[in-house]
Amino acid sequence: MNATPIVLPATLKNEEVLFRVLTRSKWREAPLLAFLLEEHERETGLSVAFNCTSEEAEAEFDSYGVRSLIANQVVKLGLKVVPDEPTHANIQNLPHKEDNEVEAMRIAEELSQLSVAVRIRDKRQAKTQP
Amino acid sequence: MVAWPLVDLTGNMTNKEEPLLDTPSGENRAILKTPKETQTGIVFEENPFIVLARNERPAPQKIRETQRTRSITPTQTSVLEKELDSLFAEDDTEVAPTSYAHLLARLNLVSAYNSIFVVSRTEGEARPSVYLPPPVVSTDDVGGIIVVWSHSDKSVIANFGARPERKSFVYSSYRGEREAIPMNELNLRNKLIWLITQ
Repeated sequence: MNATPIVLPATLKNEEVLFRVLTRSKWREAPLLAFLLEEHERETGLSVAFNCTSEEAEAEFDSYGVRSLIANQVVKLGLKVVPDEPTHANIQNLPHKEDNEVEAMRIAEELSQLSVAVRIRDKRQAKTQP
Repeated sequence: MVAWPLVDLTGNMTNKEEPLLDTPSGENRAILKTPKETQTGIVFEENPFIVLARNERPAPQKIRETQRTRSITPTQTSVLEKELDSLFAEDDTEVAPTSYAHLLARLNLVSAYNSIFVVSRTEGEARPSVYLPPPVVSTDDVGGIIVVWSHSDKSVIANFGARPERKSFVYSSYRGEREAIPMNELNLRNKLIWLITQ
């Protein structure tokens, strides 16, 4: 029996909850740092989890906590939220600070202001999923 | 020439010992005075991070006592230097800073802090004492260093590129106005002063 293929939406633009896992301690103190595009995200976009709980999102990483965003708020900034897995998406159209420092910082500031701290940990929690 | 004594650090201008306040970073900060408390002082009460006092030219001996007794300014610089150095030791830092970024950050930050804080020991050349909010010091994912200061609606971010070909800049934002300017000691110093002034 064949499994039913999972059809992902082209973009997320409604009330979907997105989770950004805080993988560095300093991201707790200055949340905008969590929304700066990293080098390995330059091609794909800012990595977020969706369609899962915050615990599930966090389980894949050594984590200092989780911040959440709503997809439609992200879209209003002119960004796209593109899912590539059933529980993973990339926020696209963010510039890297090497390409456009003012825009990269502006968007990181705005995303951090839109985001809400779901959980902040004093100590790092080791990942529970390989 | 107007002299700027560090009266807020010691209370010397009022000739009495005054308590220091604990700051979020654990340092001591001089207690705010109202104009009524000291007729010689002017306090910008709307800004808790800056206390200035204008007075007649203070006696040189008084400045030396101020520096020797309770100068908080070297502490702020040394705390920042320790934070920069600790980036190498943090186990949660995925990428340690490059030597280039660390040197660039250290040179610019210490110079900027010192140019703001250090009081000339030359007679009558004391500058205003200031308190900067404690920054968050972090690395990016390729070994660059990012330092973030926030105060009220303003923020200043210093970005030190991991390598010479990477961008190093000072970013500032205030109520929708944003800019990034090249990183150098003067630009950083001016933006930090802008951060804590009205």
